[in-house]
Amino acid sequence: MSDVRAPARPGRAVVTGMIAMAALVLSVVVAVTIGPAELAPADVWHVVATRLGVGDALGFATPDRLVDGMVWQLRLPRVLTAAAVGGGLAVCGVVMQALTRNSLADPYLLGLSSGASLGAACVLVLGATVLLPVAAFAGATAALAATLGLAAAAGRGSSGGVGGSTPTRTVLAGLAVGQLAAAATSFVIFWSAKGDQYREILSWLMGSVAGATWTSVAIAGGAALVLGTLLASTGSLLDAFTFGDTAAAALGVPVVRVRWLLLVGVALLTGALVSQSGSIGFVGLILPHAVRLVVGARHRALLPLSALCGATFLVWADTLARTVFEPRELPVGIVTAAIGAPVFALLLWNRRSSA
Amino acid sequence: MSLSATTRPDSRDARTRSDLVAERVRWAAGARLILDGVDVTAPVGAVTGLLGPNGSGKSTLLRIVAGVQRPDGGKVALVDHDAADDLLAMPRRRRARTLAFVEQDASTDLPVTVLDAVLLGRTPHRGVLAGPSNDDRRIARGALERTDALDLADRDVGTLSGGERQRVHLARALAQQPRVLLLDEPTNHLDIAAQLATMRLVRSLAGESVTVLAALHDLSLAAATCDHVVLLAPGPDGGRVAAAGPVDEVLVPEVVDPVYGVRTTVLRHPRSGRPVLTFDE
Repeated sequence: MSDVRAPARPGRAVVTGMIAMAALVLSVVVAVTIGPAELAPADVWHVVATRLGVGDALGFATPDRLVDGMVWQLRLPRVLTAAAVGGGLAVCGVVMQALTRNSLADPYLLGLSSGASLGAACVLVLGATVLLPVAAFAGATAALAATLGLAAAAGRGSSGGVGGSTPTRTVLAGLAVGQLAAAATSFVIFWSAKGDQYREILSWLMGSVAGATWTSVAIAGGAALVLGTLLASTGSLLDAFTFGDTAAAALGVPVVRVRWLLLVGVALLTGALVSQSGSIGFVGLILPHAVRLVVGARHRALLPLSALCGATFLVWADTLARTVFEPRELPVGIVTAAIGAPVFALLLWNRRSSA
Repeated sequence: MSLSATTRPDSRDARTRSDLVAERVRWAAGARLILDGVDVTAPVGAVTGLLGPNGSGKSTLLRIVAGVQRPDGGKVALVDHDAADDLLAMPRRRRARTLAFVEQDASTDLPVTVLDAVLLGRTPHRGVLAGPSNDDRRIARGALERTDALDLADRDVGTLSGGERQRVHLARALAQQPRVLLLDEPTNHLDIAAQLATMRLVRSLAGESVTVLAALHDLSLAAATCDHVVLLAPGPDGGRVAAAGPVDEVLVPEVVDPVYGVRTTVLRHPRSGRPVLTFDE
């Protein structure tokens, strides 16, 4: 009897996924050893092994306190936060692109990140640090609603009539909302800042994981794991939107409910991430497009792979940010923008030829 | 999963002897009435053409029957001898297993293969978050074979010609294993050969006791391929049914002329004997 099983098409995605997972773990392991202080890789892993309680078993002596502090209090939280933020933003990008049927959608371009930054900055100024993620979520949600509302309203007047928000119009609306939120963030910090707190403006607007602590890891990592996993499991639902809302509804998908639930999920996740990193741009745009080139548009493969690649990407972007101009540090958002803006331009170029 | 697939041919005869009936369907866009108490019956195993000028509400009616749009009033049901299955009250996933809708010009910017596009038709048959099973793939390939598009399976949907794309959309609808197939202008933008191939396919599906309701623009094409036609007329108070029945009774000058505002001459096709319509101002 011949093998009647269909050719194992998902096989490629599984293999790619395992490679991506291995690349992420390796990246974290290597990235913690890179940095300004002269630390040997062996010393770094030494600290980590000891902290994880397996140092004795491996026969390591207790590490130097300074080295321990540098690795455990500074580098590791920073690398892990970068991974969580990168993975989470990439998932947000995929979900937004599918739900708005807009290949240019991304938490940064549609203003969510800036809105979240504004919320976070307000709370920090008021000193209510506990509310940080909540305020960032509120900011992200308000910005999302404003962007989609503005795009739909702008569309109503045009000849298009019914459908309203075209991708271009949505991005323009996002730009307006994002700029306004960024200006408001600058204003809030400017008004309240003492001494050199101006630097904070930059880290919120450009995004940075320089100040990451284990609390950042808990918030960003927890959100990325819980919300990111939930969102990443919705591949089949997102696939149903391939040919638009009507086709999705005809396939039995409760279109309106799914859209709102998932967009609120995206706003929650973006809020949690941005509250720890500021608004880092383009991660949600570049990674999904790159991954699509490899595994195609099927969301069940695209979502988890984008998450893994996004995490790896931001780990290296941040490593670059803290090492290229050593001892100066760049906000990581400058690195992602330097890579992301040309990709964005390329996407616009491709759209032009198809439109 | 395999059970539903293997038992289908038997269960199908038992469950498909019902007509699609829409009664007194009303829908208004804001203050403007689009459909005003429209009655349509599409008998099982036949191709029913939904005709009418632009703005008579053909697409709207199809969207309402498909459950994509809520009507302001009226009923849509599958009616067996005495039992009626209310389509509007049916849970959406069950409705999507009962009825498939091929809308006009459905397209995507995403790089999707033909097989993946057809596999979307299996969505209502599996768990909400589950991926396609091997059975789903088998059924999807069967649907592609049925629409003569199996050789396209690995192509990107964006690279297909209009006729090829229409066959893929039909295959996606067939993968839903529906009792009712709703088609909105299935021959739109197709060349003549592709139009004829599409309608021949639709006719043969009807022969397998699928109920087909298709909005059509071309009256001669409708005359050549439909068993029944429903002619909608636009009016100041929304679209109404001007006439409904067999092709020979509805597609006559007395009925068509006032609806379209033209003078119609009905000829006979020399080989098929079906009506061919020509028009003057």
